[in-house]
Amino acid sequence: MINPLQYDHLPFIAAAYALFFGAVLVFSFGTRARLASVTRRLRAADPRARQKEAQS
Amino acid sequence: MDASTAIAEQQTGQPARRNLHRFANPGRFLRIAARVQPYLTIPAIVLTAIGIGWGLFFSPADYQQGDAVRIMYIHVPMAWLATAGYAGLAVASLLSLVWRHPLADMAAAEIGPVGATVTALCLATGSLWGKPMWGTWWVWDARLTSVLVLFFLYCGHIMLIRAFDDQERGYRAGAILALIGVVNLPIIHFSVQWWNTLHQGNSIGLTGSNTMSSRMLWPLFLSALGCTFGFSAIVVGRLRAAVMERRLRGLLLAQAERAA
Repeated sequence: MINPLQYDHLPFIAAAYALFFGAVLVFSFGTRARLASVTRRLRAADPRARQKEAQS
Repeated sequence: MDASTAIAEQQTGQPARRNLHRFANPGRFLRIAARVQPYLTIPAIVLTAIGIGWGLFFSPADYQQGDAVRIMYIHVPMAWLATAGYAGLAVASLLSLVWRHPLADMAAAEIGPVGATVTALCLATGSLWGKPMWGTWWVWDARLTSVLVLFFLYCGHIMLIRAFDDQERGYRAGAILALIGVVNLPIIHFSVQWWNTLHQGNSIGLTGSNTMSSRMLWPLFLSALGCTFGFSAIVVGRLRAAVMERRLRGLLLAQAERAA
């Protein structure tokens, strides 16, 4: 196994991977938050969904 | 056969199996997409982790480029997804313009920001790879410039669909721009053959013309596959949210009309 701390050009490699994982985190958590928010608002606005929840 | 499928068959005179509009039912789409989502997310995490882990900790350094070659395990998947994502955007635009598929407009709108981000990542990681190898962050060669044009096309599409008060007109204008921009995809692919570029030529070919060691090729392949699943998972998640937001707007509008 190679020790990443011994890479040549380490700052460039680290910056590239930081950008990549930053974007992955922003999009995955952003999408999850957007889905959770719209699901909550939809349940609040939809009387049928509220009825179903009350029955169950 | 449910009612929506029967209506679609009556309207088009085509069997439902060949009818794209059977997927246009938002309720059905949401059910299918929710079921498909884990099958995209889990392979995305697993394959990307294996590909990048292999590339960073076990694959060899390049004999010329040293460890900087490890940027390849994210740069190449981003480059592939930038073009594949645009092809997806163009297909959605075609479905929207020709068949007026109701989900196609929303799909194009949701692919745009994700595609623009992967293109920006492709340019940024390429620049971070170029500085130690070429001695410069940027050159105006054909490959880099055509990818920059692709980034501008994505940005143009994002802005154009939001530039009209009438959303339908925005979607239509965006779809036309997306289809015109398709001409850039072969330019990107063949740029390293048609012109003398500082960017290296293709190292991977479908016809077995690979010039890369299998010890680098496998982690690259797994990383690219994982990122493709990840891109699809994010787009499907965003599309689910967009469909639910449209349903919510409809509900709130109906409630407001009843109250008035």
